[in-house]
Amino acid sequence: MKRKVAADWKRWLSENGHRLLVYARGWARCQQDAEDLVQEAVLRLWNLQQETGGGVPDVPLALSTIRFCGLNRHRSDSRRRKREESIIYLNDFEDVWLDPAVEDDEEALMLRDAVQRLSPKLREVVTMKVWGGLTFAQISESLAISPNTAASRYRYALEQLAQGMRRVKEARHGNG
Amino acid sequence: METADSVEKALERLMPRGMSERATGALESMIDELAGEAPARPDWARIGIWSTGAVAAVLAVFFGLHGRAPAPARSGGLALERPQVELVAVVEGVVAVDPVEQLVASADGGLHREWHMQVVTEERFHDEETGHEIRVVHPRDEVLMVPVTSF
Repeated sequence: MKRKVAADWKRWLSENGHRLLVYARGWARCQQDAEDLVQEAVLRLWNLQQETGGGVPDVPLALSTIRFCGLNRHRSDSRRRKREESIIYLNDFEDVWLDPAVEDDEEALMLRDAVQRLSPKLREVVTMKVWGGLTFAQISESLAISPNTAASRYRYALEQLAQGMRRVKEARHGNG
Repeated sequence: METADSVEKALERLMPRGMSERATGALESMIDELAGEAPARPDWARIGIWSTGAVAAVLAVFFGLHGRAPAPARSGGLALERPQVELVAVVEGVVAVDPVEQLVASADGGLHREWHMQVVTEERFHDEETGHEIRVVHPRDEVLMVPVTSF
């Protein structure tokens, strides 16, 4: 029984680990911090799930728990740092986001930079939707916002990204 | 990549990297440890229910035999597991030290100077359930008598 529970959790982590990690990156300054945050969240989830039989949690609950842990860390960090410094979160993306299979690396890099420039609220919804695979209903539950707000933040983020990409291309053509 | 739709497709291709080997190993070890410990942890709620049930059964048999009605049961027997609040650190520090000008003579004739100290002991607790850090601060005054050897 113990082995089965452990195997279920390990399988769940191997299937969803990357989703948890990319979301945790929004609350951490580097890959290692994000991994530590995921571990902290998994420990909380484990204890939480013991009350309902010990099964694996669903992804929205896991992302909510990461958010909770991230907020706790952020609050304690804020006591020591100025607010402006927290903006550098997510800047260290170099080895995390890029998929080597992406055909046009240059565009991918530009897009990655544009995602970094999104406001945290918009970036959070994009991360949950695109890489977390959550529906707007699930995002709304996780963030305690309405599904309409989640959908409009997502659309707004995509429009901002598209606009940012257009600007960069225009500037390049202008210079070239 | 100039429309929202094309951006969405491009984002989907930017898949994030998975966990590092270090993190995966740490997570798997933690899960093994938790799975091994889980059955050993007492389930107080369940124990409470069973204990209450057992006591109720004994009382029912006892009062049934003697033909008396049992007193109404109180629900206090359901002992729920309390969230763990763990003591993380105890730090003691001196906040202020003030010497008293007037010297004090002890019984053997030696002179001492009184130093009034404000000392603070801080205990830090971590609430597992909420993640909150709780700080309990105990301030106190202490008097230190230091022998005076030179003037």
